[in-house]
Amino acid sequence: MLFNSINFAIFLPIVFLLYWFVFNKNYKSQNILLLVSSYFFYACWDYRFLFLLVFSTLLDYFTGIKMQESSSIRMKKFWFWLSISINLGFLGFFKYYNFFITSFSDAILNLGIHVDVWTLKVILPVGISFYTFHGLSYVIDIYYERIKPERNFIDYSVFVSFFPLLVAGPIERATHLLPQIQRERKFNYQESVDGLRQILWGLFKKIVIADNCAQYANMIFNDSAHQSGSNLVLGAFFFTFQIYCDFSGYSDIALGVARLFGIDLLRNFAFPYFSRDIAEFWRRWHISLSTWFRDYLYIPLGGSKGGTWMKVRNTFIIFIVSGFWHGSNWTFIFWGFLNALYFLPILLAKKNRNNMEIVALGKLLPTLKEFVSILWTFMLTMLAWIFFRANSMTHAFSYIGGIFTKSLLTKPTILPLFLLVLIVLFVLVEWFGRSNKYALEELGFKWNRVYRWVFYYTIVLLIIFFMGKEQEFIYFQF
Amino acid sequence: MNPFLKKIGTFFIVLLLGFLIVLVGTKILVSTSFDFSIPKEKNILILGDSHTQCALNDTIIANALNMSESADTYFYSYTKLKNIVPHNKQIDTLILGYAPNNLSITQDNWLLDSSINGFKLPLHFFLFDKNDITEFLSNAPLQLVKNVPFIIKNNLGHLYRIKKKEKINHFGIGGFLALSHVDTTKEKSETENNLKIKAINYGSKDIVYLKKIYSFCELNHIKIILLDTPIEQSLNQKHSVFYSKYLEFKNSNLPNAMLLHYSKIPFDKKDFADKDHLNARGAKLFSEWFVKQLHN
Repeated sequence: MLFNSINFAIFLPIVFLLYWFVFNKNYKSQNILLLVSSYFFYACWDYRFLFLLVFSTLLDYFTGIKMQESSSIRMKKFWFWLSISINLGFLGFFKYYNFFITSFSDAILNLGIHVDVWTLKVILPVGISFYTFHGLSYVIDIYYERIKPERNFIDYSVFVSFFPLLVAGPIERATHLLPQIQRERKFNYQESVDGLRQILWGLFKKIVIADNCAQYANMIFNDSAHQSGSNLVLGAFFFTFQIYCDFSGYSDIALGVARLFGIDLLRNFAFPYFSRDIAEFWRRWHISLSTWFRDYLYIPLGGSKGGTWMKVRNTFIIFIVSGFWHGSNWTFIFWGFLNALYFLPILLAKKNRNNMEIVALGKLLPTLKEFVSILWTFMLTMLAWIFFRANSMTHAFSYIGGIFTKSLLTKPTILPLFLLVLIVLFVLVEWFGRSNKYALEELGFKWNRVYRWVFYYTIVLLIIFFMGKEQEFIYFQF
Repeated sequence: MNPFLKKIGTFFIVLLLGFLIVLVGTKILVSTSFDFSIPKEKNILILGDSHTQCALNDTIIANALNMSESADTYFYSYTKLKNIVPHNKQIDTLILGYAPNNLSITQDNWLLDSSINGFKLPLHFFLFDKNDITEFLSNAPLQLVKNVPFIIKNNLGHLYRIKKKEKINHFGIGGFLALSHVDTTKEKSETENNLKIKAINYGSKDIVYLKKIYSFCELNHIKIILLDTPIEQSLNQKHSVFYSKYLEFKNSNLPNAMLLHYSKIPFDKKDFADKDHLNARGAKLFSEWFVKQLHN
């Protein structure tokens, strides 16, 4: 069930009304409703994988309790590693088995040995990377005694499977979400209206910008060998906006939907394309995953506290693992590697925390220096996205090679002006709303109702009339 | 909570009402201002799916207008017929695509297929009368609702084309299609073809509209010619098992219609764009030959 589908448009109001009118006696019954709805939502993708989700939930629930009840460190470690290995085992099996086995087969083929390998012919269970990471953070936090295990199975299950975040995050933490699940929730008018505005903006990003960009990006990437350099630049440009609007659009809808149920989810994006350097970009892009890797991988590895070698090693590990998390393809690994290369000089020069504030805060325009930094960071990011989007490393390199030809200076043959105008409008709205949680948060909020509604209707009409061909959210495949 | 629901309710009611008004308004505007008249010398109307659309070049068959369209079920052909005939009294012959696959269950599935209706419904909605809308609503209400914005968008496009005085076959509802490519697919083995044969069943929904087309023509004294256009030899083998049903249906339900069973005419592989469809070259040859047949 896609967030931008008719089915979801029917599902959401039904759950909303049941939540606030039928199951509103106490939060426990609301949690039961949320759990049933979330499982239904997930089963709409593929009911068979629901068992995997339930199993993963049961595993972490019981191992969490067992760790606390363990009388010895050895037993505690046993339960901890049992959970970690099964969780990563499932993730590895469904997501990475084919990659490893075919890479192995290709490698030994280079030695002249041919092996017929058995590959997995099942689709990747949707959301597995997200709910596995939910569970992992929970188990790790219990192991390090940051939190106590949750005894109420329903509450814990809602934490893992709450439908707005189930298939593509944000990756929540037990410390943030569980307390919200375990307290009475009162309907808040302002929060709900704001939630709807966030949903509206998320839909605009996804349906208008991302889906339209996808059509052109696909057209260019799928036929990159026959495109001029200028077309290839446009293809990368469209993909850069596609992936941002697709994923941040999804996150906005997820956050907005959760707010309708009185639940506040972690912020996932903070206007990353206005970043002045790569370090800032990574503080603003897919925040819930970046912080997850920071807290559960980078810091345990020693972070940036050790010597230069340790900093370099840890930086590469975190970026490459992050790339690999996205998918079992060398292109994702290289994408991570490239970002590590971008990041490293800033880290070594100790400039990685230079740009902590919102760019040009309180000003209409950035300074020339800020503008050039933003543009440079954007271009570096765009270059890295080519690897993320390409089908293979060969494809990525030939794509980049195709850009740097004489045809780079020719007029692009694929030039959808309406889309470029929409992107410019979108960037302007994002720029003026960059100090908020999402771009539309304050825009028009103080206008009188008629103007406000006209503004909302305009966005609705833009969504309807500039609707791109429906595309699945990119991050569902991860 | 209540003020929230009231405001949300009002917001959506205003939005829906707005859509409904614009939908009905644009539909009426397009239906009433659309010029259905075709040149007086054109007394033959051609309807059907991509087979007739690609096979009959109406610049060669000078007294015919090809309004066939890819994936047209008899339902869509019927809506076109009902609208075109009353404005063109000179039409005395209807050439209608009639191949074994038109009686299959696939045709019924197309009638309800969301992706097919996704592009057909918005283009053809202005042709619908009350009955068509009611039938569509009873068969696939969600598809109609889902396509409302696209219907409005297309209606606005139609109005623009009407203003520019575009011809009837420039509205995306039909017209001869000249395919330029040549079929390069390899022949499948007989076993593969036989496997497919077993998977095809007969439909029941779309043939209702075939019967309606027939009755409409009878009522308006229009001669109806059922045409099975040339297809590649391998497909003919596959279709051969249907021929008895296809003839039986014609004889019992469409007794006065003339059947031109031309699917077996041996065209060269280079005259086909794929196994089912003639390309521009094939269409030229076939149309020239077809003109002679009409004269005879």
